[in-house]
Amino acid sequence: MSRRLLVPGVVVAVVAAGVLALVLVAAGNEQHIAYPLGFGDEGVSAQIAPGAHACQQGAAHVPTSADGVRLTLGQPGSTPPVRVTVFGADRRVLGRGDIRGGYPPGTRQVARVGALPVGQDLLVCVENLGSAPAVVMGEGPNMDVAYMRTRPRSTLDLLGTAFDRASLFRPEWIGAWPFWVLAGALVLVAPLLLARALARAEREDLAGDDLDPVGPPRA
Amino acid sequence: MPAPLALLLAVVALFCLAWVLIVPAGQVPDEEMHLQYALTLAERGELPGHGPNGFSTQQWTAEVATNWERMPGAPERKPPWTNGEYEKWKAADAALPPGSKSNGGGYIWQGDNPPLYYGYEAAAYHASPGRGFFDRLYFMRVMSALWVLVTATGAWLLAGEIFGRDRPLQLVAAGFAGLLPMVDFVSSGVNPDAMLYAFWSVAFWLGARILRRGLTVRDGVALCALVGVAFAEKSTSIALIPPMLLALAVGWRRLSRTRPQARRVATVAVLVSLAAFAVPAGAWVVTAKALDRPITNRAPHYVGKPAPQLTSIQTDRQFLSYVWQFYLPRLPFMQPIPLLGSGGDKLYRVWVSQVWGNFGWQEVNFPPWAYKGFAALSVLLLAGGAAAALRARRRGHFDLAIAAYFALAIVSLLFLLHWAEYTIMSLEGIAFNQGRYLLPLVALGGVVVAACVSLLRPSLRTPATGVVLGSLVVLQLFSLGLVVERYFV
Repeated sequence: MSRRLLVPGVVVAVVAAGVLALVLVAAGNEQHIAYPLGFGDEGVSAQIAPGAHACQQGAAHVPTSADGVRLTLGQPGSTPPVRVTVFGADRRVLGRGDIRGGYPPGTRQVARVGALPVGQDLLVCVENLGSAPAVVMGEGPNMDVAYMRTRPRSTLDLLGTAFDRASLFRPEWIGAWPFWVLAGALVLVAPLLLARALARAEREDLAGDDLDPVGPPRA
Repeated sequence: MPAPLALLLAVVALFCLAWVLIVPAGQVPDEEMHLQYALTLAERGELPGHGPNGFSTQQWTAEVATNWERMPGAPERKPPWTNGEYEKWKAADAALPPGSKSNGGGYIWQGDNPPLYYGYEAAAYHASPGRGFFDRLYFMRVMSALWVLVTATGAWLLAGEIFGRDRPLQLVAAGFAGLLPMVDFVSSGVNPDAMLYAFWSVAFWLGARILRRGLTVRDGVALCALVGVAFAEKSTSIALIPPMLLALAVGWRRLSRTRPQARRVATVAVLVSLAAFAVPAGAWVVTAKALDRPITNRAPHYVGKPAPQLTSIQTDRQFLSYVWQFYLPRLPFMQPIPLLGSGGDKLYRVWVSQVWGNFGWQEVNFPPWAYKGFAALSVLLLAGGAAAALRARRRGHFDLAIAAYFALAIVSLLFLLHWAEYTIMSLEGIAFNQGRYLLPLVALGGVVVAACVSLLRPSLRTPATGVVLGSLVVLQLFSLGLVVERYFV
């Protein structure tokens, strides 16, 4: 291969390999979490007596499809089975699922509650089905709740959705399209521009000091 | 402008635009405060500290609507994802009463910063083609990101002084400064560090130019005026004053020896240069005094808890112990410093890891194994830089004064950062330093990378530059991918 092609080809090859790696990582990165409410799980949010129930503090808007609810449950000696019920804003039951007892204390457990409607305000309640107190972890009164997908989607698969989401709370005229244009420019145009920069750098370097707007003559 | 530099700047601009658009509002460190400062100047025509509220109603409404305050440090918290939530904010924003843009301006810690950058951003606020809150915020971000182009250009010029007219080496130095993801991430938010990196980058070039070519009135004035302006931009630039004085002193000495009458010329050049420093720096000092404001950022004030003083021998001893434990394991006779554990890991965790990738409010990171790779790469680059310096010394190309100029800037910056952290740790018990605080040195980082490339045979330098630039693009893409995943997936 001639040096004229080799030099710019290096940058294109490195970027191409990197983009391939990025695509593979994004394709293999399974996203089980559909929408986390984002509260921590360091403290006890609710302690539920046998047969009693506790609900999350206020309904939360869930903008994406989900069919599971993840909670952080249990303390040593308190790992009873629980029933998770999801209510709509009108208090109608939209989904329900159980978590079996005996889970490791303080771990995140998922209840399959069935397909939940998209873009609604949802409220999660937890009922203690066992004989020991159930403990739901969270941040103050806010339970550590995340809406889950039992069939995960890859990051790559969600890229378009991510760009749609990223276009909100931006300048008025911004939609998802500038993100696609930019992504294309970064992956395709940027390496070509750098390849050209490299080729020009080598040419100017060989051309001598007369083009120098900056440095002193080379030693 | 040389074509390779112009092409590189186009690429840098593309990446900066991506950072501007992708990172949600308020998720560049301290953006909320820096924005408040700029909005206070723009809407109230005054510096922060006297306003009726911490933030204007308009800014606060936008912050609440975008989950702005709840996301820092909590990787599972997301910004709003639905159009309904956006429309709800729009309706709330449209219904705000008159005066909602100008009723902020209360005290913020960042309000102690000098006003230059914020004045620039206040002008951008008024010049924004859109009038909505986010129209203006994102326009201000774009204007901030433009400074990365200056940072990269400064590195190009600096490499030109160090290596002579060697385009591949200049390109790799400028590429490193302009494409290091953390530089673009921080500079693409409303954050005065964007301007700071640019000023430091150009100051390194001007200092090296004086030391390499000799002191002239023009170069002396340019360096000193820049350092004066940088001082009026962010107090961190105090650390540029010692190297500036060194450059003037060496320049004066070298020029004085050239011919009998030269001493007078050199003295005039130094005096005029110092005057050029005094004008912008003095303007800020006088303004701050007139407004009864601190000239530099103040230590937090607690009744009955005096701030550490450098004049106390005991404080100095404790400070040295803190610095030791920052970099090295604690020795048996040293008093433990709670936030430093058994000592010695901050060099890796803060200065190395966070320079390569630490996004959002420090909660968006690469997997831990990646940082081990970055650390190994850092060691390799520093070793390569040292090898190149030794080779230059053997060949008689090494200018000790230039090395001392850079070293003094590094030591001054580190002293400033460590003293600030030691003070804040003593008073508030919290760690202060973050890797991004080293980024004013990014042009020197570019020179180190270029020095490594210079060790190769000339025929291999351009391909090696291609590998470095390609790798930086890949690092950028992975970094942007991390950010997209954190906020929008």
